[in-house]
Amino acid sequence: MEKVQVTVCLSQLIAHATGGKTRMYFKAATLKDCLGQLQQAHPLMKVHLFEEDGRQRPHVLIYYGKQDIRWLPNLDIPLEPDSEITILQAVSGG
Amino acid sequence: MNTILVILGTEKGAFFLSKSRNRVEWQEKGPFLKGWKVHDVMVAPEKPLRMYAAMSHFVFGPSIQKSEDGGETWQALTGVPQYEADSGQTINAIWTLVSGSGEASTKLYAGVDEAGLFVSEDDGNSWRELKGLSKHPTRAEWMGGAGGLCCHSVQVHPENPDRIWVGISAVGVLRSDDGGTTWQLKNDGLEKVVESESFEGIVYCVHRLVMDPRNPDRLFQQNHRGVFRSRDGGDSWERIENGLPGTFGFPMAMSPKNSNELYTIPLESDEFRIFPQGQLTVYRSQDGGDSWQPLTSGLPNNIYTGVLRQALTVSDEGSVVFGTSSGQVYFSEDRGENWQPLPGTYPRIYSVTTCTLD
Repeated sequence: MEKVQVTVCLSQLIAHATGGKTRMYFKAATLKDCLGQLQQAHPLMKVHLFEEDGRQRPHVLIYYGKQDIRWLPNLDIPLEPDSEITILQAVSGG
Repeated sequence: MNTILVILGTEKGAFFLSKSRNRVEWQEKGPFLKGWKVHDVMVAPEKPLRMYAAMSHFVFGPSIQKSEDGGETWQALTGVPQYEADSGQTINAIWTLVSGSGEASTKLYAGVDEAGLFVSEDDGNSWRELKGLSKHPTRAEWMGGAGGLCCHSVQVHPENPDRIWVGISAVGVLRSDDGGTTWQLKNDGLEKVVESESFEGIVYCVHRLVMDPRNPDRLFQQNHRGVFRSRDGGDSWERIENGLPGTFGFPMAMSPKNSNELYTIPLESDEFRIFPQGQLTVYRSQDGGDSWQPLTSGLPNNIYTGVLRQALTVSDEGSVVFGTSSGQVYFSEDRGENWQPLPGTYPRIYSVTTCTLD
């Protein structure tokens, strides 16, 4: 599967985990590949996005384009060139 | 020129208040670590410019950050305590950070929610779960209090680094005599927070546990059910409530210079959790807890809030300082006889730490 360049954007709140960067570029084939590279390059991202058992933290939102990845059947989907993955906090609570 | 630094860990970051010894005005700085709950800030022994912040965020989980310049800049530690993937346990917050003692003084301990204790021997780059505690035989029956199932108090014997006490809400006190490998419940003499014949040895809701650094057999605790002292390293506990208006409260602090000088700030009851009659009153003991005297000079009498468990401290020089859950800070340079409000109103104050900078 061809690797394409994608952009990952994240909240300033967790930029300490990426050396201060809130916008990064990866060459990845699938969404799973990209998120894996993100965690490999910045291991604290695993702590902030996922619980110990691997489940995505309940108030973390990860969007691929306009798609909330929580509702995807799996993350093995090929990435479109120049697409964007955005990591946000849910507007939770009152 | 000596400068006293008061570090506030709050619901929305850390704030610093400082004052030179020969000055009247306080300088305010912050917020640092903006947006994160700062549960505790540990100042490294003998290195006051080195600090560690114990943090959590309700979306992004736990974090520990370190400063080498007195809090001006912070960097995340590369490691964070984590339970094993198949444990069914998760870290919600780093509640407190404590250094080891003696030959183990370079160790860092992290008390966490869900309750457990982790140790790092490489300045926080990696952490090891002390499974004898977090997998204790009674673990299945542990339950948390209003603040969570948190290991909030960690005390390390100053001469014997293998002897460690922890306070866990609403479990009680546990002690290890082998560096954290095995843990024994130490709650004899305390009153259970839930009246039940089950939960043998647990459900003793310690709110804050302090140790006398000059005589580590002496421990003190503000408990959900009262104020207690141990003279035998936690093997037994006795009530010390003579002069107190009630039994409920959260913080407790001991003077680093005087083993007989203790402070607590009682609340009306576990139902109401406000200062009795709205009068903010610090209680001081000068006889090791045998009796308590109220101190109110300079404190407001129309404040309906509280002081959380880690938000009262005594500096190395004997100054007493505390922060309220509604963001006010009060400071005394004369052992609580007179208090002054410090400038600013802050988010909910979780912890107050002091240090002196040259």
